[in-house]
Formats: sequence, C-alpha cells, structure tokens
Amino acid sequence: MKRTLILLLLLVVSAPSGARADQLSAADTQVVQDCIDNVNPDKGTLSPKKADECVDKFNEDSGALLDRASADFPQMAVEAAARNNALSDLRDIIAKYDGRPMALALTRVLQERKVLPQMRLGPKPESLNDWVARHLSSRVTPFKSGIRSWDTLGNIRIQAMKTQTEASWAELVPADRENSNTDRYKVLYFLAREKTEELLKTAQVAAKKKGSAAAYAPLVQVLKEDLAVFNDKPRIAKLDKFMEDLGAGEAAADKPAAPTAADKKTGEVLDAANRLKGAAGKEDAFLARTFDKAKEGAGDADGGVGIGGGSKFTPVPITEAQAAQLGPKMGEVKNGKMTGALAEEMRGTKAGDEIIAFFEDPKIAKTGANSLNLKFVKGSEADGTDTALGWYSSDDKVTRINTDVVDKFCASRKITPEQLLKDDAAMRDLATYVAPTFVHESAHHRQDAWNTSKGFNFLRWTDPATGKVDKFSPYQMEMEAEAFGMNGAFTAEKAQKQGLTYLKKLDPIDRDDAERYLEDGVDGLRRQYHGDSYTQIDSIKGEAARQLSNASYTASRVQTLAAKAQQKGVGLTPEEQQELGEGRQALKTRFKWYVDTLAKSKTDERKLLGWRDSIDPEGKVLSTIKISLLPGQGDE
Amino acid sequence: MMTRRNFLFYAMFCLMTASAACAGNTPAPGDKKVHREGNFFAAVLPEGWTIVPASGLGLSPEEKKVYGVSLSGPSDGLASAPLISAHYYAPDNLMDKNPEKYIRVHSLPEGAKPAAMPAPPKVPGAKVGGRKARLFVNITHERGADRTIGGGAEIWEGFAVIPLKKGYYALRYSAPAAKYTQFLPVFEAFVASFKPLMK
Repeated sequence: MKRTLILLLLLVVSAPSGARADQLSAADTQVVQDCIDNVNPDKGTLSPKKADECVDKFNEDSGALLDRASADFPQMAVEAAARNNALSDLRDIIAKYDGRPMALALTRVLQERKVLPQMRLGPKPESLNDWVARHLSSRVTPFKSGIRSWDTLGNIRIQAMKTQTEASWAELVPADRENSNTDRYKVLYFLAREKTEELLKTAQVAAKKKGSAAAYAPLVQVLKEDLAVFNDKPRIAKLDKFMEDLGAGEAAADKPAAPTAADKKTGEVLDAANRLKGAAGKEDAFLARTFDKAKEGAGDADGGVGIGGGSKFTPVPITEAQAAQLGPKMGEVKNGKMTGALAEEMRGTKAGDEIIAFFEDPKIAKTGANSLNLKFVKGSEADGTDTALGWYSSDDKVTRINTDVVDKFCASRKITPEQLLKDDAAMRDLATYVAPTFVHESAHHRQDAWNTSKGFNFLRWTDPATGKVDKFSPYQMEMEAEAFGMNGAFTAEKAQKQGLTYLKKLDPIDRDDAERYLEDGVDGLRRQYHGDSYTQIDSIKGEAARQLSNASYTASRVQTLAAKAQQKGVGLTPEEQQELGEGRQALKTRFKWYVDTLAKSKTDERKLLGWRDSIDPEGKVLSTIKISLLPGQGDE
Repeated sequence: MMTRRNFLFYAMFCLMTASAACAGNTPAPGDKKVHREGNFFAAVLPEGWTIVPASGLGLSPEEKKVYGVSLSGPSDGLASAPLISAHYYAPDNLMDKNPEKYIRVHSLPEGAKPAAMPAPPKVPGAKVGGRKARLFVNITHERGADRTIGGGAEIWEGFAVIPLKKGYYALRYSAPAAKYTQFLPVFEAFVASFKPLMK
C-alpha cells in the first residue's frame, strides 16, 4: 500500500496549478490513504473506531470527499468506503447483540457477504477471535458464546454430541435463518429435545427418588438453555416439572453438586439414553426430519383480534375468488383519488394522510410509480411470506396482505368470508385491523418510488437473449425502520383519538409497534427488529459495504480506461469512451445512493420523532397502549 | 471546547476521584476508568462493561440533542446482556422534552399489577451528584423470535432521573428479569459515581 500512497501523492503534487475543484487536496489524499490503510489486513489495524471516522468523512458535505476520490482513484474509493463500512457494521453487531441474533447477523456478514472475508475476517466466525480481543475486549465472552464456540459448550454438550469434534463443529455456521439448513444452534436445540425426552423416560426408571435433583440440575440447566433459544416452552415446562418431582426445592437449598460429579452423572444418563435410542451420530438426520414440526411446540401466540365471543364456530378459510374482491373494496385509486375502507381508515392521521397523498400525487402518477395494486393472497412458505402479515414487491409493484390475517379476523368475529364481504361494518373493522400493515407496506412502496426517481435502481442482470434488463433497489434496515415508524405512528395517533376501544380491534403486534415507537422512538424499533425478525437484511452500513463492493469491477475498469486516456498517443476507442462515461456515471450513482440514503434516514427519523412528540406530548397515549397489552386487558 | 466553568467542574471531579483518566487518559492497572461525556457528565465505568457505540444510523446525538453513553454488561451470550446508560437531554431534544414525560414513558401504567416488581436502585438520600433524583422502575419485554408478544424475555428496568434548570439527566438500567438483581449493585455504583457537569 506504500506504493499506492506515493502514487497518490505524486499525482496530487503534479496536478497543474489550475486544478479542478473536484480534485483531491494533499489533506484529502492523506485522509483517504489513512482509511485505505485501516482496511488493509497486512497492516494489522482494521480498527472499527477509525472506520467510523472514515465513514463520517466520506459522508460529510453530501459525500464530496468520496466524489473527489472516486474521480481519480475509483477503485480505492470503492474499497475504502466498502470496507470501512463493513468494519463499523461488524463492531455494531458484536457490541449490540447477543446469542442467536448476534449469530444470525454474523452469518449474514461473514458467510453471505464478501467484504469482511477480503480483510480475513470470516467466513468462519472463529477467525474473528483476535479481532474481537483487540477491539472489543470486554465482549470476548459474549461473542464466543454467541457463536456457540466449541470452548464455550461445556462437557455436558460435548459428551452428548458423540459425532462432533472441534474441527467438525468449526465447519458449521453459527446460525442460519433457514429451517432446512443445519447450524450450531439447531444442532444443540435438537439434541436438547432428544435428550429431554430421553431424560424424562430414563428418570422414570432409574432416578425417581427424592433428593436427586442436584445431580440432574446442571444437565437440566443446559437443556433448558438450548430449548429456550427456540422458545420451546412445553419442554422447558416438562423439565421444570421433572425437577420439582425430584425435589428441586430441597436441592436448591443445598450447595449445588460439584461440576465433575454432575458431569459424570450427566454422562451416565446420556450414555444410557444413547444406547437406548441409538441416537448417536444422527443429529443431522434428526434435524432434517423434525425441525419444521418445531413450530408446533413454539410459544403461544398472544391474543388475536379481540372481537366476538360466545358460541361454537367453525372458521371458513377465504377462497381466492373472495380474496380477489377484497383488494379494490379496501383500497384503490380512481381519477387520482384514493377510495375504499382503508382510505377512510387512514384519513385524518399524519402517517395515513402522507400515504394517501403519495397515491394521489399527480406528478408521481405520470411515472406510474404510485399505482396502487392491492391484493389479498395466501403467503407461501417457499418465499417466507407464510408468516408475514403483508409484503410489497418492487418487482411487480403489488402490495399484498396475507389472507391468513383475514381468516384470523373472520374467526375472531365468528363470521365467514362470504358474510364479511356483505357486511359493511365488518369490512370497516377489517380495514381497521389491516391498516397498520397497509401503512407499513405503502411506506415501502413510497421508498421504491423514491429510489426509482433518484435512479437508485441498479442493474442486476441483462437477459442475453432479449436484452431485457432487470434492476433492483438496495434493501436495507433503514427502510424497515421508517416503515415500522410509520405504522407505529399511525397506530399511536389512532389510539390518541379513539383510545382503548380502537386498540382492542388490533393485532397485539401492531399495538406493540406503537408502544416501542412511543417508548424509544425509531431507535427502539430499529434495534428490536434488526435483532429478531429482520436478521437477513443489512444495516445501511452493511448494505453500503455490499453495494460499493459490488461496484469494484466497474471501478477497476474506469481506473484502467481513465489511465489509458491520459497516456500520450494512446486514445480510447469510441466503445471505450462510452464504457468510461457509463462506468463513471454508475459509480457516481452508487455513491449518491449511499449518501442520499443516509441523509433520507435522518430526515425520516426527524419527522417521525416530531410526530411522536405531537401525538403523545405527555406520555398518556403510551400508557393506554401499555394497558391494552396487559394480560386480559387488550381483548374483550 | 472546554469552557472555564466546565473546567472548574472537571478539576473538582478529578480532585474528588483522583482518577488517572483526568491525569492524561492513561489509567494505571487497577484504576477506575472514568468516562467523560463532553461537558455534560462524568462517571466511573463498571469494570468489564463495553461502551456500545452510538448507532451511526439515523439522527446523531447532536441532531437529537441527547448526549450520553450506553454500556453493555457481562453476558453468557444466550440472554440479552444487561445495559446501563446515562444521557443528558437538552431542553429542545427530539425525544422527551422534559423529565416528567420521560418518567411517564418509562413507567408502568396505572392499573398494572405484575406478579413481581423490580427493586428500585438504592441511592442514598435520593441524590445523585448532589442533586435530587427521581427513582423508579419499569417492566418491558423483548419480542420473541416468533414475533409473538410475550415470546421474548421480560426486561426489568431501574431509573434515576435528575431534573435540571435546563434539560435533565436520565440514568437507565435494563436487564432480563432473572438477571436484574445480580447487576443492580453495578448500576447503583455507577449512579453513585455519576457527576453532573451541567447546572
């Protein structure tokens, strides 16, 4: 990299006195060089603190430094911006999250993305050990435990996993979102399920005597830890009952058994269980066979819509034909005006009025980017929409609401979908029920229109046969932070106006979003959702690292062509000139996306916090929402 | 920039704590690590706790006019780590304009009858850094992995809020219910070390 610095300085020094305003000064050059050095693994720095400074510098003055750097040294500008963002993002993940959320995020940035491994961080999580020790020393233990490092498993787990070795364990990813993919957490979870069942059976024969609880306590503790990760409350309850039967109350008063003795007992129990079931070495098959059924044992969902009550009713699922009628009845735009039950439900609120204004904006309508196409469809397990309330697709510009939501609504109200379609009051209540989801998805629709209007839809691929281009807009966590802020603000404002009666008509999830929004603002929503159900998407920093890194080939071509253009007597061909121009424009757009998206997230948050203050200046609305979430309070 | 008035506060703080951090940011082994947050406050960081970086996402502390530090405590990597934070809320901040609003936002609603309640932090004379503090507790929750309410851990919280003529300080402690009592003394020590630098 020293050679690079000399090259940079020479170029700066040799710049003519009438240098372009967009050229790098010597000071700028040093800043960029320091940022490049920081992400060079051979220099051994990789400092997240320095990375923060670099990210800040790159974003100052609407990305002016990045623009200047990319004009002369596009490849280095791309590398410096991408890698420093990735380092800062990595630090955030390890500092802010624990357990499986941390592991899921690390799988994303170490295994699925390419930038950190370029700095020899990943793909295996253990490759971060030194980096964490150097830069986040007080997080070494949570990090190792979070990735379920072999040395944190303890004897009980290691004895139970007969076929795993430290080497084979290192080959497993710490956590994977897909149920069908094995990971460390799932191996431990299924092992815990299996051993729980075996322990309960074995105990009936061999250990059913009072006072033996202390000997089993360490094993039970480990099993409960691994079951809790997937919220397997039924098995945890069985283990608690088991300990109670063994006199855990008496044992608890005693000093816990020494670890060695406890491990020995555990080993005996596990050995017996393994012989009994022939289970050793079958973790993977067991995983593949049974994980999808794990949902059955998962925690109970709270509530449902709190409407109705009384006599027996057999729910009738909505048909496709009935679902097709719902879309236009709920929301459509005719002659530039949004109509339907959802429009009525949203009108008169800050968030709702903004969404309606978006759909009715004649300027955007000319581009077609705000066309409302609302459909009610059943979610699919194949694309993960089976558990979603709704989703917006930028590919076909359709907003979809999951018909499961409608089925749930009808079941709680004890009406059939046929009755629903004929009942105006029920349709209004359905609109109330789905409006927070619609506000959320429409916020995504508006983001899509914003990206398109700015030219932030990048080329994904070109069909060689037809020449048709496929484009996409980067999707990152700030988009969800805004969308959840929008539906949180909407629900909060409706609650301000209509109180507990309104809140009782909503899904607890929507009340919970409003609670989080009023409690800790957009930050609270961002942190919560990135830590649980949105672990598959990157933070803006992580996405910036990915998108800028993806532009590295373009950057290298631009650099090569620009160098060739400056050589005396060597001109560019017309094709090369065109490629150079297009390449420069592509880089400029990508840097602009990065800077403008960061700026947009600030504007969004400022607005949402302003609404929060005006909706609930004294915290009274939040109190009402909290009451609605208390057990037995939210439903009639 | 350190103003004259704040320099005096800072010098007094250094005399009181005999902190190596005040003598040039190079604490000797075994010394307490003092965190100074601009001209707003200083406090002794609990040993083994990590400063959680400001998110770098959305609005900055300067833009929100909420300045402070967040700390993440020891964790077994399974349950969420305990958190301690201290923030100064300027009068025109974008979050909660006054201490009354902050306290209401982070308190249990009237009528809530939880099975068990967190103990409030013990603060001698209910004074922090010589100033009157409001002490209270809250119960909130994490969202479960399956997006159900109640699927996640119950989080217990303890607070010390110190009203000022202009703005206020909020010291917050959050931990999974089962760990709350374990780390409460750490929070109490942090509160005891807290030195307001604003009037």
